[in-house]
Amino acid sequence: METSAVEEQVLQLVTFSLKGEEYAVDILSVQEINRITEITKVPKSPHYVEGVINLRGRVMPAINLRKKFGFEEKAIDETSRVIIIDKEGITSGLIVDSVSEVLRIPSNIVEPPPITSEMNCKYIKGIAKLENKLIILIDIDNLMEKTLHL
Amino acid sequence: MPDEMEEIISEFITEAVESLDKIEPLFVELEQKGQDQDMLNDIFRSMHTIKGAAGFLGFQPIVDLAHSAENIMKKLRDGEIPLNKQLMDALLKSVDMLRSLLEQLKEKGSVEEDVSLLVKELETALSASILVENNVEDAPSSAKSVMPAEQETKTSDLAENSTPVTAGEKHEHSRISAEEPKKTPETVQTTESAIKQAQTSSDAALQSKEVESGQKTKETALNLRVDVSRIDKVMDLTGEVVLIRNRLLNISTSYQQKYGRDRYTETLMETVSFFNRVTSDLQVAVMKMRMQPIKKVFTKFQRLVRDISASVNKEVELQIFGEGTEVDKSVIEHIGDPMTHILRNSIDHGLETTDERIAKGKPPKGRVVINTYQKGNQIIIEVTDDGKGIDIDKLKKKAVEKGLLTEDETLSMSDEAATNIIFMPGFSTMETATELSGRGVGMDVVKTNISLLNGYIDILTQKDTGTTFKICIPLTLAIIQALMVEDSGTRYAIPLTPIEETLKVSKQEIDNITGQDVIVIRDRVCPVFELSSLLGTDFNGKVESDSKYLIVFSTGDKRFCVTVDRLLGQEEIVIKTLDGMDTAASYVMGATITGEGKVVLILDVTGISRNYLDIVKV
Repeated sequence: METSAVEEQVLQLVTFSLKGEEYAVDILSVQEINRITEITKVPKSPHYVEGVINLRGRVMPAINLRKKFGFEEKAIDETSRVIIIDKEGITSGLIVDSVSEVLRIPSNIVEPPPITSEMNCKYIKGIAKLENKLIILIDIDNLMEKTLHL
Repeated sequence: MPDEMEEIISEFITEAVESLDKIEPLFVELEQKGQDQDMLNDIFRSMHTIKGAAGFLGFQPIVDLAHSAENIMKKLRDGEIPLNKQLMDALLKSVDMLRSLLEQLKEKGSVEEDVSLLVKELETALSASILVENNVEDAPSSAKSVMPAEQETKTSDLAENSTPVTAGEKHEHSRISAEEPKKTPETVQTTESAIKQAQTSSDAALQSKEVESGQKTKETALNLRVDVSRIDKVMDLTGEVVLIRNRLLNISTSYQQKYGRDRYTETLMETVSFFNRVTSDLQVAVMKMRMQPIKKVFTKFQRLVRDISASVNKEVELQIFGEGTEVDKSVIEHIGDPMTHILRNSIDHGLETTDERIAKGKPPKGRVVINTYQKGNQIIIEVTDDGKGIDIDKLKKKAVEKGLLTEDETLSMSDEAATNIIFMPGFSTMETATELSGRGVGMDVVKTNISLLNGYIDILTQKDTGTTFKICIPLTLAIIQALMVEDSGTRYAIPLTPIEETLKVSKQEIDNITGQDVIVIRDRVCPVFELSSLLGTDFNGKVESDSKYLIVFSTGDKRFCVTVDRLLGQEEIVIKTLDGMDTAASYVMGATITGEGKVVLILDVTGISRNYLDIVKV
């Protein structure tokens, strides 16, 4: 998972968009990507927990990434997707504006995040510089708490 | 290689524990019935098997202990010494020790315990018994016991020759085959016929043994030991199939409504309905895979009752019925503790002392009966004693003394409610605390444990006739009965167990005392909460109306009401845990999925009562 890994290493990423910018998560932590079905609100939960969803009989929390990052809210629409993240057997969903593609990039084009005092920085693992765009790599381990305290 | 070894060791542990589970009740039975060759043989063989396997694996302490116990069993079996209490105690102690050694082995992978003390104790018990036996050499008892013992050895020798006794082989067949020789001691006087009979019976025994062992081999091949996690996986997947089935049913119904008697729709409907049936069967089959006979828990009770009754100096006979009743694995895991507490309570508090019983004209020996049966979707376990019954006035008095209730409260209490006092935390009626019970812990634990299993417990008691504890638990923990309600536009499920009743009340009936809503139900004041304000959901779509639906809960000794917008009815729901979420603060204990695939939260009533009722004192 180190970003400053050996040169030859290739990263496989799932990229998605959020407020017009491209983000990515490591494909190994992604179980699947789904359209958003009905979400059940959980009382007294943090504002960024949209509620719980049903994934083929499993009930899991769905986190609205826009809310988690403090961006302006956007109603869930046709392009909205939920990325199911599997972290040590515990699954949860990330709600994003849309999912773009699966990308293979050499790990040496990833640079560490700019050091700012911004809180969201701890959720960012690095920035990949591609020819025509920048992709922000999400640090899933920091983003997903082991247990979500409601 | 290390993996393989680990597997062998864990196999050994499982088998050894199973053997111990099996012989422990035999010990107790042996003590009651006296010398019984079949049982002695069973125990001897189990010990021998454990010793052999432990020796092969190099667990010396286990070998030493099993060897000493086996020595005693051998002498007992061969009739060289009679059974006495000292021997029995030493043997039972060695069973306990073996258990703890196996436990140690399981946890640490090795055993280092020093067993020499216990080995010595076993040897002392043995030599003491031999001494006693030699002193009474001329006594008729010794002559009696030697004769049949010889014949018995012959039988078992024959038997052992014909079928090698291996670790995998169990002992049921030998019990059946040896039934006949048991008769021999009675017929010893008439020598001629006795010998003839013994011969025929040992022939018969040999024959039946062969037949039995043949069947047995087939049987073992039909059993498969499977990792529980694999079964759970199948169960999870089945749950998913069930949900897909429900959705398919919904979809196909809408198709039928739209296209009517179209040929393709008809085929679809037919297929879906077949799928429906198969899924239901699959669900039942998977559930059965997790079911085990409750006997697994009950085997240790004979021993337990023996120990308890000895320590309180009461003679007690335990009868168990319906131990073949099958329950879910999780029930097996959780029912042991509450049952132990109830048995202790029945023997310690329920049954009178032998003198008291004689004075009352009852049989001197007390009786405790465990009866288990299935009723609908529930398993009922009844523990009945024929003791003095619960003294309700004494209970009330004690509760007032302890400050658990006020005098007024006890006066208005029904007898049924009063019997439940024993489940109050911090309650105990015994004048002095005994070693076993009387410290005021126990019965409240019983209630908690049983409600963890989504079950409930009732007490039926009659003075001088006895008391029955009736435990009702659902067949499986994954499915519960729930009341579906709607509030602020959201559906919720509430477990049926803590619900006392539901009422429709008008707004005027709810009073407000110092900021807390209350309602008077049959002369009792109950605090009232709105579900929407409990959950903090009052902002969206609150329905304003003059009448409200009121759900009356009772958890432990607390009673409170919650209002909801609508009652939707009772349903059987499948509990899904919320992995990775700590929902204790949101009063949610889990979720369930409806036929339409929608997630409905299950409310945690105990959590609500814990959080709100400690603050509100009504």
